[in-house]
Amino acid sequence: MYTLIVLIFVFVQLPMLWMVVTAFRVKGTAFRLDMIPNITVQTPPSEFDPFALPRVGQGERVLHFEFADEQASSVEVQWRAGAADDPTEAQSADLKRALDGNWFADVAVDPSVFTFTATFDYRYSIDGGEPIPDPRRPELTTAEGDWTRVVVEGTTFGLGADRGSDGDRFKVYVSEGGGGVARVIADPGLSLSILLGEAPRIDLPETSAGVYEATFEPGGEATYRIVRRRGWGEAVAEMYTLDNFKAILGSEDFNFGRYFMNSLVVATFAGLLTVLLCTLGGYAFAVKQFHFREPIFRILLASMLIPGMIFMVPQFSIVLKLGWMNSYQGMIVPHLANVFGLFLMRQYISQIPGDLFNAAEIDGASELQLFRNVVIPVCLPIMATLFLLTFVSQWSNFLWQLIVNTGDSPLVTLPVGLQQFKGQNSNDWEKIMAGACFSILPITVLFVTLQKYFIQGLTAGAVKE
Amino acid sequence: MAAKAKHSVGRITLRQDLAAGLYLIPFLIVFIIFIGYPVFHSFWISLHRVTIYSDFYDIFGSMEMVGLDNYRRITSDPIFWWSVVLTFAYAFMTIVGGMILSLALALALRKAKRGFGILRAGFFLPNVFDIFVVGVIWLMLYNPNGGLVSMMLSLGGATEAAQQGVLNNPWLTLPAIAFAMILKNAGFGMILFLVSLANINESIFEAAQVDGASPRQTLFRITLPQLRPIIIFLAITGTVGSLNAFGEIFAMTDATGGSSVQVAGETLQSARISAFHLFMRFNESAYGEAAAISFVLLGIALIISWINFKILGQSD
Repeated sequence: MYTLIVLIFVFVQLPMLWMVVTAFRVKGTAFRLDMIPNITVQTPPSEFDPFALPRVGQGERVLHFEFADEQASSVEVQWRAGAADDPTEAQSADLKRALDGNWFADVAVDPSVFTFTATFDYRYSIDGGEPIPDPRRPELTTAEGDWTRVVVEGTTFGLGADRGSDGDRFKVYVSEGGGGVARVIADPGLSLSILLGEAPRIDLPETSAGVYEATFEPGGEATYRIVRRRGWGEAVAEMYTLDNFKAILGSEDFNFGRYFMNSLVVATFAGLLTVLLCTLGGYAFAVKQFHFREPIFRILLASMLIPGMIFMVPQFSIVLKLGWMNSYQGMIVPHLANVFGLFLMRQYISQIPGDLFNAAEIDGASELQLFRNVVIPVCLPIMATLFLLTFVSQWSNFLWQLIVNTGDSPLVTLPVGLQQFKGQNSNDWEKIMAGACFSILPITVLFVTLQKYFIQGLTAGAVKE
Repeated sequence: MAAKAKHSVGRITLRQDLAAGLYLIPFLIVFIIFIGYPVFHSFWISLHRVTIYSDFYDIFGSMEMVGLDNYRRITSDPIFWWSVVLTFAYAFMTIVGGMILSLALALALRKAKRGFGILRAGFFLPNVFDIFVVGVIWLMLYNPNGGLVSMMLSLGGATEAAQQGVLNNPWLTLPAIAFAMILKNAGFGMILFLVSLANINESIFEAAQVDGASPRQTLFRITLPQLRPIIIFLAITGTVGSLNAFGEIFAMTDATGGSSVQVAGETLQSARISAFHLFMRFNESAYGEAAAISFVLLGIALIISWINFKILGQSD
């Protein structure tokens, strides 16, 4: 039973929760369901670049080169080993073109020439042109500026890599029966691990700054992915952001303060004036005797049944004639004759015991005193209710305020202003929802403050219907 | 229904008229200028063909008197009658569904227990939110690509409906909108029922218990009759609300009126209820026809309110 209530409760609150969550989301992710940040990610290959590492098979040593250039029609690599002062004779090899625009080559080298602890130079020549150092590693360019120099360390390299078909997998070739070393160069301080086919996860400890290594011993061929573990901060920042709120509050062409104030002025004055008119009118209908009282009241009630849209154009032409375009009164006054409000007030006031009026009259209270000292204090709950209802409807009134304000009006209200985040083809949902959060805020505050009066007033008015 | 004046009986004097007039004049002036006159103006427009929106400052510059042509066109327009049928369907769903949910909530939350206050306030709060904002959020929840409701539907086995998107299925569009609105408005009815329940004399229930009435009998024989005024109130406001239902349709069908459906050889839109139909005509600058529609709707509304009243019985 209680579970059911809570379930319905959650469902009722769902739109609001969804709105708040969406308001915090990164642009373009409003329709993604994953809300919990993920701290482990599979890294895309480019980030870790296991290529360009020399690799060894059984009895051979292989250099793997990779170069990205979609325009080139041929790429050649030149390489040499040994110390800079005594390099071996440079050798060259043509790179083959991969499907994704990358060029690559695996070159077997003579183990006697290429030792592992060594300096190793390479450079590329595109379309047969002047050789250039590896553009991806400008920091490794030699002093002369024409080679990329890598200092190769360590004793064994068991890992070779090819880009797999699905982008974030690599194929590993390891020597038959022999172990291998996985080595990844990445940002220092990460937590990395390798998922090797079906094999368990192998964590890569950081051996020196930014170099992660671990030995493993699968045989033959396997696929692996590199899994990076990151902090919560980074994970959350990828999905959630305050940017939407910042964009609303601090944008130059979106004057939030101005719009908010306009909305506040319009809604507040519309609320106060409606309450005033309806209280006066409701008092007359509830207490006073006058000719045609019932027919007038019926006509007023019947007008509630007319779809509001139909008033719009005639009202607009009246506002135009009165010269009230782009003015507060143009936004406020046409909605002041709130028949529902009049009805509420009349119902409420007609419940006030007649003795109260009689007593006040006997005490010699004037008409004005009677109204001020008897009617208003007794009617406070219903007045608060009516104020809240009017405030809410005028706060979110969109169509009318769009109509009576021309594009350059300084009096544009919040709902109208928020429209600029609705694009012709795509809606900036995250920003719209952030704006909606702001627009719902004053209503929520008002409701929570006036809740007691509100419920009291509403029920008293309706129950007696 | 009509409240009797509390004091001063007998002949009404001019002085009394004047005194009442003082209170009424502010309201009536605004009413006459901004509602009364527009109504007559609209009626005048409804007798014309007003199509060309040529001059911003002279909207009704080109009017052609056509008599009752607009009314004739409406009554023979299948789209209009379809919109009326949809309005009834929508009214039925929202009124019945809303009443059941709000009564159930009121009965469940009537006792004063810890946490119930928050629950009541929470159920009520969505009521005061902007219908356009709420509509847009539901649009997102119903979205086939990652909308939460679609996700739930596919988990529940309704994969087809989930993939299509509830709002893209012509037969589900209106119920889906009604569902969202029932949830949004349930708190309003709940509050009314709660207070009304609190006003029922406890001794009636005690007497029923002593007489051995089952909970079911208590509900149908005692509770519901006592709540009749609220039920009438909700039925009438629900009818008026359905006839004026525009915001939710506009927001949740992205201003289109819902996907198309073939009924009796006509291509009709699944959520084009009267108020939205009126808006579409209005938007096409067919002001004359739009005005005529609103008067036909007014007639229907008056009849329904009267029937509501007769069926559910006079109260008070």
